[in-house]
Amino acid sequence: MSDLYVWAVLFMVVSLATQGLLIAVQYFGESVGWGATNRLRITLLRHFFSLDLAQRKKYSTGELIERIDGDLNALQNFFSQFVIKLVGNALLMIGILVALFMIDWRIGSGLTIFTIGALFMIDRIRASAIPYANQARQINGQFYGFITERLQGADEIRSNGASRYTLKQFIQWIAKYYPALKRAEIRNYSMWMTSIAVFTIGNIFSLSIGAYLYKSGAISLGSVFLIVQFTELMMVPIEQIRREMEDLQKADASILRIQELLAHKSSQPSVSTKPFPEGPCDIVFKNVSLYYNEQTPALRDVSFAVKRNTTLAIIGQSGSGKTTLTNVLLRFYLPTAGSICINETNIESFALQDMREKIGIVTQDVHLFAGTLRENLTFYNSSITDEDLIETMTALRVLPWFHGLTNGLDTTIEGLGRNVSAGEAQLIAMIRVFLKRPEIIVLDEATARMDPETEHIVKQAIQALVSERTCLIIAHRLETIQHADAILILESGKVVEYGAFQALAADCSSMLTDLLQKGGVSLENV
Amino acid sequence: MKTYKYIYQLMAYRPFLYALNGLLWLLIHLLPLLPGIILQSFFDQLSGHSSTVISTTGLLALLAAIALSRIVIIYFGGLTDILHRFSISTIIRRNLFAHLLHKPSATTQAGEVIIHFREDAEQAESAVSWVLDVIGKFLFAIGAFVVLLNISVSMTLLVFIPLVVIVMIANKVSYKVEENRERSKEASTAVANTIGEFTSIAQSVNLANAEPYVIEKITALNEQRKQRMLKDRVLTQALDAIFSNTVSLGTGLILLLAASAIRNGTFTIGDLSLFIYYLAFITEFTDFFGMFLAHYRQTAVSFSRMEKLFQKGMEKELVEHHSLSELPAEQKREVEPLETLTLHNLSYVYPGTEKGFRNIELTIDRGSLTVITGVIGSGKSTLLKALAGVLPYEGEIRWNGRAVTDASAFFTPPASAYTPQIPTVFQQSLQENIQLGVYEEENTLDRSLHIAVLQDDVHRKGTQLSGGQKQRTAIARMFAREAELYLMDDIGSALDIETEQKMWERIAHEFLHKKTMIIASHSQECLRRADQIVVMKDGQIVDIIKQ
Repeated sequence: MSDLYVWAVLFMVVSLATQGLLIAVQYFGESVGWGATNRLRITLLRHFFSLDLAQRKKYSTGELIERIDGDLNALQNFFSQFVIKLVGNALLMIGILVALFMIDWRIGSGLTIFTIGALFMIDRIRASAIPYANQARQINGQFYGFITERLQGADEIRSNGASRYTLKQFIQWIAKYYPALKRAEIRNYSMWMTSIAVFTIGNIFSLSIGAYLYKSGAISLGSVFLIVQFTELMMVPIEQIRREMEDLQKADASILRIQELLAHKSSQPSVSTKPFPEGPCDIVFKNVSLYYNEQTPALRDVSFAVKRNTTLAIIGQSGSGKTTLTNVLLRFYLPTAGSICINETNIESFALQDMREKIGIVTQDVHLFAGTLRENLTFYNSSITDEDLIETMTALRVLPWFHGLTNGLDTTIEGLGRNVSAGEAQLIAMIRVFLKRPEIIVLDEATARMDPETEHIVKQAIQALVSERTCLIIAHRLETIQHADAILILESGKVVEYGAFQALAADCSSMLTDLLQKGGVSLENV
Repeated sequence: MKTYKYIYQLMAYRPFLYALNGLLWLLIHLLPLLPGIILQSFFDQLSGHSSTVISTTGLLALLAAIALSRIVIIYFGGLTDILHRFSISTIIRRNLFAHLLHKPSATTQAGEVIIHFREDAEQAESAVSWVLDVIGKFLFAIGAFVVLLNISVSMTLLVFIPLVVIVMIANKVSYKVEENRERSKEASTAVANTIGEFTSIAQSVNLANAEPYVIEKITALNEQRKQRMLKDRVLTQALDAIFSNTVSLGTGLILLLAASAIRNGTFTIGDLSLFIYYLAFITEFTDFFGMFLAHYRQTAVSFSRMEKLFQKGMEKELVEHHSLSELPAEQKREVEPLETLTLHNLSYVYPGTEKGFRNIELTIDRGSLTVITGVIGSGKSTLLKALAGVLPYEGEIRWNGRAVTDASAFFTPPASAYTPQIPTVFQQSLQENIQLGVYEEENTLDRSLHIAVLQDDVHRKGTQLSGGQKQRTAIARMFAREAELYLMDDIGSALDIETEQKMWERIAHEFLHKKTMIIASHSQECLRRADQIVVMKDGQIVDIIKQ
């Protein structure tokens, strides 16, 4: 009897030790998994930031979060658990089978065949469920995309009486999503159903063979009991291995999606290492064309030159290619044909970072993010001090606006700059750019959303700042171009008029004169 | 509202489906009682302890039959559960969506919204569905307990009382688990939000040459998540260990106690198999029950999160019963033609700031064009938003002298229509974007395309909209609606001069002195046509010029 107690105590000690080991394994597995996926996440982000604009536009924000974060989380499980669990469970399974062989070879071989069959069956069912799960996930993703997008535009929807219509679209989405969900979910149930069937077969097999061997006197009743227990125990590794296979499959799909993102290669030339010229810059566009696709050229044979310390104004109707022109200058797109040179060096040979440091651009849409005003101005660059910020704001003469902010640089800005007016956002963008002290400045409708008073002050400041820099101004408003040295008019991506401002303004047949008259701006003001 | 009230309301949403589902799942949970008894008889028969009428082969056939019927019931139970779960989470999602579409926005961030729609709704769905599982597993445990008591009272109590105590202690610890879970979830949301934010403004990141700093920031968030996750996972694993140890411990106890009982003949090997078989199920119940309680507490958190989106007293809308396949009949809205619009002592200040407008007094006559102008931050956009029912306000807006009570419901067509400063264009065709449910027979599409100078763009396919095109889309969207009052926020700022001129000529031709219009703008085109110019500064009207 005392033997029995020893065994019982041993049993409990072993199970406690097992659990302790499991905790340790969990800790190291998770640690390795998170370490690896975090690094991969950063790699993906770096890669994404290096991509061309057109490649980036293929992904919506939701999709990107899913790829850079969601897919990597699936991989995380895989990294931290797969090997440990697979090896552990395989060993357990082999151990059980060996034990059964030691009782009786007939039972051992029977259950080996059963185990292989069970693994095969369960895996088949699992594999057949995948396409349905993917489809459901895809529709689900689109459904959430719809919800997010509509709620972001909820004010416009409601105030234009389209709530009912939008709710109807929601109901249409439900009708589309449910069948897909049902198909996917019922397959999950079929996995459960299969495992019940498989294990009932296994149990019946071991019970009948056990009964037969017992009756024929080959084994003891204790052995029959052991066989039944072992068959039950077998469920655990089979189930775990199935789950790990599922993780493997998920990880596989994730890796494919991650690879797809990594496969996009930036079209930037790899040998762009020349330092950007110090001091004033001349810009020359020579026969630049850009085709997004074969039919629609965004720019056609555009040629012009901007001499150092002068200002070129680019005008044209919305959609005429003005913004594209600046995107080409900043190498967000590489021209399909033609060349762009700065101080007689093709811009493709400059180091990209260096180049973007020296060219400052204020875009039509300003991008703000959740954080403080300071963070939005410095983009987390801690080497920029508050004094630098104040200095730049002083130069731009926007201190009165800044002093009006109760919390100063610590003013909270909500995600997407929701609590900032469009005019203020443009002010912030302006400060961002002049912080860099660029040699070339591109202003794309940079003050359009400011009120005239602020616009006037800021423009005067800009005037002073651009006088010793090369400057490209994109404008809808004629007042903006009054101080330009040269004018370029774009129409459907083509230059239709280009020349010195004074010459064009003096020429009664020029488009500029026509525009100035229409715009009610008399030449005396100029 | 209390969590159980929400859950009750949800249970009552599809009562018959829920009852059927409950019945099926009760069977699914209770059927495993039988195989235990069959196993017991099987061993007793083998060892010659009992002589049941059924042979061992018969018992095995019975085992197969039970498994088969359980599989069939699971299939149907699966179908009802999928439908029922879907109904529960979808009714919440529908109600949330409808609510958020109708209410002034204030704070709905994309990341936040997704949490409500995905996680909070799912949380509630599971809470409702798991009630059935808890009942099923509980009845199983009771049944098993009774059967085991009949075999041996002392052994049953000796084995199960320590188990229950251990599980209860473990449940206490589960509070700590939840706390960790919450913190690791927060860290995850922070990572996802930041990645989303900076990838969506990647161009600005490039332009600012800020990639290294942004990456540094995300690296820090990554590390924070890693630490919290590690803590969470390790504690969870430790708890799991306690639970699985209880099974091992229980088995050990049963073996010890059974050994002597079997020797003196009061306990059969069949009894032993039954004890071990039921042990797993009963521990599973206690385990599941602990999980359910934790889940219930989290569901309470979910509901309180969603509740915040509703006004006090209106939160029951969240679980209101509606059809998921159709909308209630549309009621045609009649609005008294506008004679005068009066703003009386109107104020709104953005919470936590001094921005907004205060004590606005203004009268607007039928058929007039009012232009609100002023410097950045003077409050003109905010005022227009209040008029469009987008922001709440204090004071009164009077329509023909009568105060409007629910601005966000009132200021919609046919009373008013609105174009915001930065428009939203949805992922569908340009035409659908403009119509948004206004049908072609109403014949306003052509008119609105003409006014917004969009005739040429509407048929163009596959090109991305420029800033100006987006703004014109929003203008067309507004003018596609018949309204008494048109509200426009700075609609010319992204347009070139020629297009803007054309647009203003057309608006003037079509609407000037026929419809009432209020515009926030500094455009000359606009100011020279105004009947009334309102100059704002620091949230107050400083001048009203009539011309």
